[in-house]
Order: sequence, then structure tokens, then C-alpha cells
Amino acid sequence: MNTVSRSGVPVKEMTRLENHYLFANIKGILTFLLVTYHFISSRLTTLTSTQFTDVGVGLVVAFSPIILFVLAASPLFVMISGYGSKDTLACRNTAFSMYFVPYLALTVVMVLEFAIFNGLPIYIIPLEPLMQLWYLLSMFIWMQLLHDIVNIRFILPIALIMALVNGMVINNPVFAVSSGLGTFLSLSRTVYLLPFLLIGYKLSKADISKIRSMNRVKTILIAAAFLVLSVVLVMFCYNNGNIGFQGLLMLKGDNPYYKYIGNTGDGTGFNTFWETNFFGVIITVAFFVVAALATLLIFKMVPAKKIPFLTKLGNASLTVYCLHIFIVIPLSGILSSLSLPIALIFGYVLSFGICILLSLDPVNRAYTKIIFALGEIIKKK
Amino acid sequence: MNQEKTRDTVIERLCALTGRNDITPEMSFESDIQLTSVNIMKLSFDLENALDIDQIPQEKFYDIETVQDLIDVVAELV
Repeated sequence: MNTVSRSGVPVKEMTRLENHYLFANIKGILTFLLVTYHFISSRLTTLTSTQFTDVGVGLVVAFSPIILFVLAASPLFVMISGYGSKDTLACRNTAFSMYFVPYLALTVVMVLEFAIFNGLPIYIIPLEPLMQLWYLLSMFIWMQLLHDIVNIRFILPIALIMALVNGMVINNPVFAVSSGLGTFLSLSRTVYLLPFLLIGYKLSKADISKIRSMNRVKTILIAAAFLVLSVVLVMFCYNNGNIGFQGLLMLKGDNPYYKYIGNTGDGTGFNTFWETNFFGVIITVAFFVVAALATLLIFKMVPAKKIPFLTKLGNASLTVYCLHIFIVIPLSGILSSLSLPIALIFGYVLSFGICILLSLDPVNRAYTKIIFALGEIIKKK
Repeated sequence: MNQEKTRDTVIERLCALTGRNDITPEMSFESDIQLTSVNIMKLSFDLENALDIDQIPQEKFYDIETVQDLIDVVAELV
């Protein structure tokens, strides 16, 4: 079937199989990025403001697009989840087995693993997700509500405003909100990323085909805008109050603006409540624009055909996402003893191996079977 | 096993998965029933168990248009 672009040029619409390959490939790329990020994040977060300065402006500029692309992976993943959730009743029907059951089961396993490998005390806070498990809980909440949420008038602008206000109110003593709200039920990320879920839900196959038929000039302009805005955003954090890499961490959406960019008492960061929140909103809006540009680029550039390893990884993305951390936790200790460049290379290689292992058919099928079987056991017949 | 039983099983499993009771062979996977990749895997397990058939390749689900096409694919494996 063909549609017509705004300029009147006929656009060849993708088949269902091409569409599937495109999304599987994108999920494959994002899954690899997330696994790698979790592997090397313990090293990256040790880059304090001072070390950020030590790295040098040139290197910061060079790595800005990569940093921003990795940060944009979560919104993009959520958007793809929204695209796949068009049958809202079917999604609600399976959300318990698909997301809530693995959330509970993996929380128990993860706590035990932390106790064994990291010597942490065994305690479970069921309402505060550990590490990547926030996605399962947020998906469960979204899938329960999506059928009704999409019928609310002006829901997308409302969700965008809520996402920006999110960074002002969570954990903020000014509003006397519970100090646990940043992580409680992963509500902050559920609110922060809701606009991306809704955009994905509203996106049609025809829209994707139109994006893919963009001409070369538009693509280059978008790529240039992505590169420039990424550098501007990172340099803004770099130059204002020496916020540095830590300032970018607030873009994950589970902490208030003031925690990372507010006055930390040592002369860094923004000084007043309003100044902090104003710049928090500006940085977040800029990040949303960067994420949107990254989305357009990835939809345009990723091939809509079967690619060995990548398509398979994308098809098994939920399995890899849920299981990789159990391999990463014991292995990440090795990285901490290595120099940064060696640790980064080692992190990429190990991540590649983990992705191959967990996306194997027997692993993917076994994980999915166990999770649905657990759901059947829990549910009343 | 006859075509009728295969059709009934496919529709029954689709209804259970989607929580609907109005699924017919003419319905399209493009516009009427849109399943996530994990839901497709769940449907595949259910059909494999119910009809005692080999694994249905996931890509088959994206290479068909209607519920009737799925019934035909499954019938070939029975």
C-alpha cells in the first residue's frame, strides 16, 4: 500500500515483515547499548565534575553525541513499547504475566545475587525497583492505564508538562513530598517517560514509512541538529556551575533537578530554587528534542531487513533486558580493577558476548515459558 | 487432526490471549488484532502445547495477514 508525503511524493509503505525487522533491529541496537551502559556505568559515574574537566573539552565534545544517544535509549525503548501496544486490551490482559510476575521474581533473585556477590544485606523493598527492573513495573502500570489514558483530551501536552514538572517535585523538600517518591513504584520514571509511550502509541506504520522516505538533505540537517544540540547540551552542563557529567544523570528521570544541578554547597550548580528548576526544565526540553532527533535518525537509517544477530537480539530484547544484569553484577567487579580505556573495551566485548548468549532461542523461549508458567501458577483458575 | 479443530484452537487461544470474544478468521493482524512480540511467543507456546506441533517460527506471524492465514500455517504443522 502507498501513502503520500507532505510534498505529494508517493511513499511506499512497509510490509508487516519489513516493519517487524525494522523494530527488531532498533530494539537490538538499543538492547546492546543498555547492556553496555550497565556494564560500564559504574566506571562512568565515578567521573566526578573534576574528572570531567580533566578529560578535556575536546574529548567531551567528541563524546557528547554518544553520551546523549545512550541517554536517549530509554525514551526510545519506551516509545517502541508504545508502538507495540496498540491493542490496549490485549496488552492489559497480559501485563500481569509479562511484566509484574517477572518484576517480583527477578527482584528476589537480584537481592540474593547482591547478597552473594556484593555482600549486601538481604532486604527487599517491593515498591522500589532495583536497577533495570523499573521498566517492568512502569510497563505494568502503563499497560493497566493505557486503554483509558489515550482517551483523555490533550493527553500528550498534559503528559509533556507532567514530565517537565516531575523533576521539580520528586524528592523535593520544598513541596514536602515523600522522600521516596523518586524511586517509589518507579513513579517518577513512569511520569517522565509517559510522553514517549504515547507518541509511540500514536505513531502509525504510515508515519514510519514517511520518516524512512525522507530525502538526503533532510536527513543530513537532522543529523547536524542532533550533533550540534548534543554538544551544546553537554557543554551547557560543563560550563554552568561545573555541573559536568553528573548533570546529565538527571535526564534519566528518577531524581529532582536540584540533586544534580542545584547548589551543592561547594559553590557548584545553580543557586536559587527557581534558577535550578528553570534550567532543569530547559535542559530536559533540550534532551527531549535530542531524543526526538535521535529517533528520526534511527528510524531512517536502520535497515528494515533481517540482519544476523541484530534481529535475533531485538526479538529477544525483553529476555536480554531482564536477565543481563545477573551476569553483569558478578563480572563488573573485574572492570573496576582495570584502567578506564581497557575497562571500556572489555565492557563492550563482554556486552556483545552476553547479548549473543541471552538471545539464543533456547534461552529466550525458556525465559518466556518460565515467566508465563509462574503467572499461571499465581493466577486463580 | 482436522482443519476445524485447528481453527477452533487458534481462535480460542487468540481470544484467551487478547481477552476478547469476537475474533473471527477474517480478522486482520494489521488492523484488528495487534500483538506484541512477547504475546506472539505466548500464542506460539499455547498452540504448540494444545496441538502438539513443532515450534512455529516467529517470523511466520509477521508474514501473514489474517487469522485464517495463521490457521493455515498451523494446519500445515499438525
